[in-house]
Amino acid sequence: MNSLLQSGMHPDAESLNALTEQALPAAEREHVLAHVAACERCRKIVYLATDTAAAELISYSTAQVARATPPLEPPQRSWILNWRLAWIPILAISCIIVAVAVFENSREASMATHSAQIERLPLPPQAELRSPATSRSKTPQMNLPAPAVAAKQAQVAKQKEVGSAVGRVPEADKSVPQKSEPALRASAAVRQTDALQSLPAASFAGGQPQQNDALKKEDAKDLQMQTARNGAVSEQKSASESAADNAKAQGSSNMAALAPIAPHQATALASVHPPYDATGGPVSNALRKTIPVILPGGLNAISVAKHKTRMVAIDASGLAFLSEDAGNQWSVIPASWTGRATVVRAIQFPFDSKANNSSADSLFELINDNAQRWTSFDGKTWVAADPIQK
Amino acid sequence: MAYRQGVDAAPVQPDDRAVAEDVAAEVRIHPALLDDLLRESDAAAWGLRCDEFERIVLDAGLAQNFGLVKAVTASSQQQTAFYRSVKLADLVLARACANGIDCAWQRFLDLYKEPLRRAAIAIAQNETVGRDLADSLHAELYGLTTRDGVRRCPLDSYRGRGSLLGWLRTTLAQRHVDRYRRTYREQPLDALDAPAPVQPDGAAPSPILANAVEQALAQQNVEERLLLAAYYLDARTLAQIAVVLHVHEATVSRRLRRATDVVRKQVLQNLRKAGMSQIAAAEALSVDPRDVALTPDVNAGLKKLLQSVQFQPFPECALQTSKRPRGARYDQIEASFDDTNASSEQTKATQ
Repeated sequence: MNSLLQSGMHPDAESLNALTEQALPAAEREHVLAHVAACERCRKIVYLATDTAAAELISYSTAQVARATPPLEPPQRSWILNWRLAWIPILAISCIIVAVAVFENSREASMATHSAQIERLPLPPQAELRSPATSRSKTPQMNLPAPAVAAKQAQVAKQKEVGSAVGRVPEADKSVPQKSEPALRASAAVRQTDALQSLPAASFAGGQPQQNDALKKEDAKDLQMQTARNGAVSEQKSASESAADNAKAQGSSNMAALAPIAPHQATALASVHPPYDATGGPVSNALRKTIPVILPGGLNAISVAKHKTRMVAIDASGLAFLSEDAGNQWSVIPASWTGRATVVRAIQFPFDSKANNSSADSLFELINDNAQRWTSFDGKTWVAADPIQK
Repeated sequence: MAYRQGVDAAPVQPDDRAVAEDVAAEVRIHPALLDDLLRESDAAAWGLRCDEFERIVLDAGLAQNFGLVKAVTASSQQQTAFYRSVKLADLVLARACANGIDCAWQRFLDLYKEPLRRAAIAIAQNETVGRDLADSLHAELYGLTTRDGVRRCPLDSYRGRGSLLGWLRTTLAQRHVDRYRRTYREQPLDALDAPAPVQPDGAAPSPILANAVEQALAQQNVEERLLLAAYYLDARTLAQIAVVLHVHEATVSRRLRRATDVVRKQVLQNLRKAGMSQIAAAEALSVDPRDVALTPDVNAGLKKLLQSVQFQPFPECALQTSKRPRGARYDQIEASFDDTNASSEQTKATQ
């Protein structure tokens, strides 16, 4: 067995190929195998040929399999997975849109509240006869806090409700454009006074000139009520006059605008005033539910004032009723005022009055259709408060 | 079987052409058979005319006398059996190419150009050498080589027993092996100054042992001889041998183990027949196989074959020169070596 020695004659490629492909007859195969077993060259040829054929077969099989096998399709995914990450910017944009819409809505609401608040403020003399939009844009706005805005919104809603219940709102709306300039000015002054009185003191910390005027007006009223409780009417007049003088000295023309107004104007004004609670503000929904709105006259109360268990109410016909037991029993208050009562409200004193008189710690105020005011500590005895009307 | 002298030339095919021309006038192929063969070979699809096909098929059959011994005229059944036993489509294409038909060459290049190039690259394990090898074979197949003024085409030697692609691969392998054997001794001049390898000192190989091994291998079956040569001399794997012999690897392993045992026993028996005692025969097998005269190029495979005896004097050498992984055979060798050392120590102690 010498691999270097040649066996003399080698089988040709045909025989070697036939040997590897098992195509040789048995006798010839024996002959070729005997040669190949002794010949290194022929063995190498056979190995090279078979190895190449095997490699070719493997590559061919792989190619055939790859050709026969359809390309793998991606697995079916749900539609939300097909979106993959595309839903993230869409969601972000949607959130932004919703946030902007909410912000705009809230801002519009606040703007509407501001507008309603501004409408309640007196117009400048030069701008009173202009269009509402023009006058609103030129009127200085108050920086009201959110609670005050909400309270004013509720007040506006209640005004609409009361007006619609009484049925005077359309008449008032129709009569408003027909008012003369002094009457409009007086109406605006009354509305401003009511608005300022219904707001808490904290809302006037902004330092606006009109707010300062309102505060000074409140101080003058408190002083007036204190003097009235002490029975010094003359001193009350002087205090009221001095307060009015002070207000005038501060540059406020609102107090001076409290001029007598026409009866139909007062009726329209009263029709938009909601009921007031003991604090002087509008009656809350809960309180309105507890207060019997049906008075002994058979009419609904258009204005209610309450302090502790004592309540004063005015029905749609202008009659005033007093209740000592929180509205269970009502008695008619003799009219000691002129005109028709339209609004009643309770003003609570900040100082402690328990030492003096428990019933004198509050003051009921009544306004008739001529915008004249009467005050009472017990709801029975009413005294004219405005020296102007005298 | 066609053989030729030498290793670097195309095999010389038997000159059957003259005989075929004489017989062609007498032998005719039945037209129905010819039509069937033409349809089966699909030759008309690539442009071969019927007269050309008939002439090619008849020449191919006459060149081999339709698989019969010479001077025997084949009947129509024998002709049919012959044409059914060969790769007729490949045979017709090869013969048509050898006859220089253009459409046949076009078909040949379409079918075998790329496979031939890939096979050449795989055989040479080098793209440049592989392309060169494929191009040279293409030129040779085209008939650029002439001998005695006659255009020689190696495709004439294709007889259709195997596939044409296999034949081309085998021819490529032949060309590559022949080129390697022709050039592997060509060394650069720098190598001439290299010191000569030192011959190992040791006892001269015994001619008795060489004869015993030769006789033992000669007594084996041809397939066992091929197994031993491929496994121990060529260091082929069981899978490669299984592909050549068309058997399973387990069968190759089993037959290889059995052949090794038989050869070892036969060598010992031959040594004893040559006049050696059993101990002397065992010691003779312990000689380094590289020193055996009959196998100047015996490599580690035969060394292992000879060293896988019970008395193993050079296990370290066997393990160092082995290229195969350590297996059960080496464990047995080490165990036998330990047993041998222990028995020799006991013998020395007894003496």
